[in-house]
Amino acid sequence: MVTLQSSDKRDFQVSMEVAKQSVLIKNLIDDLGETEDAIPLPNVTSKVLEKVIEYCEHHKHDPPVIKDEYDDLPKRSDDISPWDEQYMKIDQEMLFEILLASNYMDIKPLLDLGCKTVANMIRGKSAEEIRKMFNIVDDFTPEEKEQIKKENEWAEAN
Amino acid sequence: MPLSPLLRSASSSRALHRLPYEILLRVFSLCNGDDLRTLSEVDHRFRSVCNDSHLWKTLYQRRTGHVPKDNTCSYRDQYDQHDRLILSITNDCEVTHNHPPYWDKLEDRRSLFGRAMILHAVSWLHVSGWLRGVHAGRYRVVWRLFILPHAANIFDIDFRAETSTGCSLALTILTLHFRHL
Repeated sequence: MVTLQSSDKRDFQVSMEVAKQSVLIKNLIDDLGETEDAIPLPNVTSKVLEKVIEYCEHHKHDPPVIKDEYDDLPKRSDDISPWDEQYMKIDQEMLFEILLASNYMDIKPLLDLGCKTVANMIRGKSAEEIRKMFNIVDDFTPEEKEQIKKENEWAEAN
Repeated sequence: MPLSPLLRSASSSRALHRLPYEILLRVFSLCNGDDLRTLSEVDHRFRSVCNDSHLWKTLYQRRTGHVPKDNTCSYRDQYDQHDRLILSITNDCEVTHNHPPYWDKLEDRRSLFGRAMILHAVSWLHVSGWLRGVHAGRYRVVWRLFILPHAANIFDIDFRAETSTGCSLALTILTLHFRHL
């Protein structure tokens, strides 16, 4: 078993195969050997770590990710499994916390799941709808807006 | 003084903006050219991510299956050229009776591809082509053909767009462009 410690000092006991889905932890264990001490994760709160562990528990028997020939970016966003979709039914704040945690802990499948979820939220929407959904302030000047409009019209006509 | 609930919710739902550049890049890489054009209108931060040439290189590779050329035009321009999804009858389609006296290839500057096929005479023919690497979404499908003045008897023209398994075509509007020369 491995002990992971959240930023708010809560300990979580997980099996080796669960812990090693995080490349950060895998490298740590491979380098330093197995340890009785709790591994501190100062960037992850207990609430988020609990959710991350839930994902790793469910996916512990997944085959390892095959590296792509030209890059490691996800290919498509419409291939989310039903369990993953259910798992991602969380509020926006948690969704972004999971993105940050999976990026920090280097859990690529979870990071990709989060990215696909966000991509599916923004695809096909208008700029105004996207701003509203994520509470983004339009920081363009009227001149810049005019410029952008021109550029995009050019792209449409071309 | 504690933050008012309104302020707190505003700061937390701006979380998308706290995401590091690399994560936004991952998210945007799952979008297509049209989505990116929209995203670049959202605000300065999104605009700078959308201008990342690596992003357009990725989109290009996914669509075409090969690496874009360096040193000609930008990856974005190269992607845009492919984003049109135009099939040329001379280059990309399969045609029955694909030989004289039925069909001929001819140079034609009015075509984007600089070449066109001309149909002389045939009782029936079948032309088909496939678009690959198309994102799920709504598309307007346009067929373009020119009809010469002496081609008086054309009937039973049947144009169809179909999707192969695994694709979802939300809506197809079929538009025919006939033009007499």
